[in-house]
Amino acid sequence: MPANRFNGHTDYGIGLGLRVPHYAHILEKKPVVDWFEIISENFMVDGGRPLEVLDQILEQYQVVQHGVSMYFGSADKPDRAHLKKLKTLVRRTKTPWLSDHLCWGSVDGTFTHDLLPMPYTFAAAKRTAEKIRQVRDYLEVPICVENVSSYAEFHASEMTEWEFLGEVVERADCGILLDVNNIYVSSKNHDFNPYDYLNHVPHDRVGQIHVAGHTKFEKYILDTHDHPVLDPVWKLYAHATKRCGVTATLLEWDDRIPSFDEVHDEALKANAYIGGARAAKKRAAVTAS
Amino acid sequence: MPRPASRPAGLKPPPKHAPQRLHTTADLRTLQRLMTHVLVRPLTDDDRLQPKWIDGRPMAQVAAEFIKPNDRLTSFERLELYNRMYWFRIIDSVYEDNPGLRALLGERRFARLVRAYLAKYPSRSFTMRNLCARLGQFIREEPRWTAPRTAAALALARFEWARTVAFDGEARPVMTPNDIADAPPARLRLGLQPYLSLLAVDYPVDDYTLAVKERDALRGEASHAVEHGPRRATRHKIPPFRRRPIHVAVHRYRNRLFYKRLEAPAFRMLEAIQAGRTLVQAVAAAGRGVTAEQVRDWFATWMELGWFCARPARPKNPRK
Amino acid sequence: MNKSTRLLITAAAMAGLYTGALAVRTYAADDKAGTAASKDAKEDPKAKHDCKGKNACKGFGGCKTSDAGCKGKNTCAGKGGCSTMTKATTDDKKG
Repeated sequence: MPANRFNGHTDYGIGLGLRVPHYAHILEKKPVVDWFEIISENFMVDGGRPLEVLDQILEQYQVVQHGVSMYFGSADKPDRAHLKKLKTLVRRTKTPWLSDHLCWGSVDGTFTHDLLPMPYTFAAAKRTAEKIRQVRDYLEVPICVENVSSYAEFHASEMTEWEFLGEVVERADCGILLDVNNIYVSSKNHDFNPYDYLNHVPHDRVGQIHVAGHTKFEKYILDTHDHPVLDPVWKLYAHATKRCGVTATLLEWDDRIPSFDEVHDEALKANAYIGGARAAKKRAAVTAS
Repeated sequence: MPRPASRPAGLKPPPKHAPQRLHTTADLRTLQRLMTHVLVRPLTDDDRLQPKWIDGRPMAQVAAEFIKPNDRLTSFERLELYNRMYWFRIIDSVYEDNPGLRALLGERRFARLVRAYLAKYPSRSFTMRNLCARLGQFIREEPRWTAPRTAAALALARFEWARTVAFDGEARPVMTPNDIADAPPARLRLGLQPYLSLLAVDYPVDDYTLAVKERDALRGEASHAVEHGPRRATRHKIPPFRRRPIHVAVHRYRNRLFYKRLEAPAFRMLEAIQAGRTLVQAVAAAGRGVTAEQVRDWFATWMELGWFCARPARPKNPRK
Repeated sequence: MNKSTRLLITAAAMAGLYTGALAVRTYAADDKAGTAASKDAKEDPKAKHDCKGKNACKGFGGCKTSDAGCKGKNTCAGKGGCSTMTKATTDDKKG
């Protein structure tokens, strides 16, 4: 949705992931970009260059935090020290919303640094939703959870991934960061129709959309973020925006990163796919008036 | 090739079997513990998931207990994807942080060291920034991975971790003249910035690491030039890493990294300050042979660099 | 070190602290800095470009040949991938 309670009632346009190779270009040229998404963990440090860069970016741009280690789906309790550091960063960036993944990745205090798939069970959904609520209450900022790319499924699962996502966000009353590339990747890896997924997502909870490139192998697809966005993903994106409305959209490019302009141009391609959603928005405005 | 330790530090033992149903958070934890043990299990020499589980059963059997196959991949293969990604990701991160150690040991030996290290000490932090925090400790504990260059390897591991700390470690407010105005030297305890590391090592780690980085940068430029023009012969040699004890401070100034060589008495004074000694005690730690002029210059420089800060307050009830 | 020497050296240390503090103020006023930083020190010129954006949310696949397992590359995005498992295909068109 363009602006809703899950993205802090903002109407951000098309953003980019802030990445180290682009720092110099951004700080020097100050290109016009709607917003930047930062990986929270890369700035949850106590000082030095990362925070210096961040502060310079914050002077010029809108910044949204995206996390990779909250692991809402891990059975462990949220770590207080981690939350405290995250809250310090939230105060610094004034992020209107904060996202992290619907996954797990740590147990007994050992971290895998991966985004591991959930077993889609009611017990897991309940536990995950509890943690999302705890984190949101502590951080005092709206939270969107992102669907991940996955390469394995559990026998223990009791529902589809989209049903699990719906179950979690309804229980937690939180938003969704809809990653259409991840839907595509998982649909190929697990043989489901990605449009079924998109059609069943609670659209009014979508606060942000991710697009990215992936790599196709003989027997599976990996979410490598090292390519331009592929056609089928753009088509899914177009469908998602028809369903959800023109929503804050972000391109992720994390490996083999080309020039800033190339990444930005790739992100701006999103404009070509949201015509349908824009037209619907106009019609709605005319009807309302 | 020596085998790495079998029990990763910090992880509780895996369950014998995957839970069939997940009704509770405890069931979820059991499943996650099992899968984490699979992921952190070292890869085989050809980067595959080990064919046998910890208890001797075929891994394929264990994987099939909790991972669904599809028409293209078995349960084993699906788990293997995650096992490989886990290792590739963390190894890559350690490589990036240790150019000097990598150059010293060579790629093969460095790879073995890193895998053995991470097998024993998987990450206990939410950020990969801290992955190398225990590498020095590991080299001390298991010198077989670096022998006969263990002392040199340890020196480099300590230095390269100090670089990480200096890069983004905490900075406390710098001490000002007002902070020291009323303090008698016999009671004055200065603090040192947390991002500053003092290293007494047997090898010139700073020169070596800079030479390695210079070589790598030139190689990068050369490979770039090859892409765009005729190939030129490029040979970049690193000077031999010979034993020569040094004292060095790894620090940052205006968010740039610096390696500052220190004379032994200066180093001893800073160490005493870092240990919480008073200024008078720190001066005594310098030993004989230092002159008043030297000491004034040292302290002036360290103050200019912002190394001195207030000492952190001690918790009132440390046992609580 | 006898007592009088220790007193003398301690006084020198205190004097150094004040001198250093004064120099910091002067630099701030003159906008000249770095004298102390470069004295007897080596700057790591590459460190300011060092990649410390370590945490990311991408998959690690890719297969690169390597004789030594994973080779770290001095790039800012992590590149894992070693040995071969399956080959990539490129039948998807980019948008």
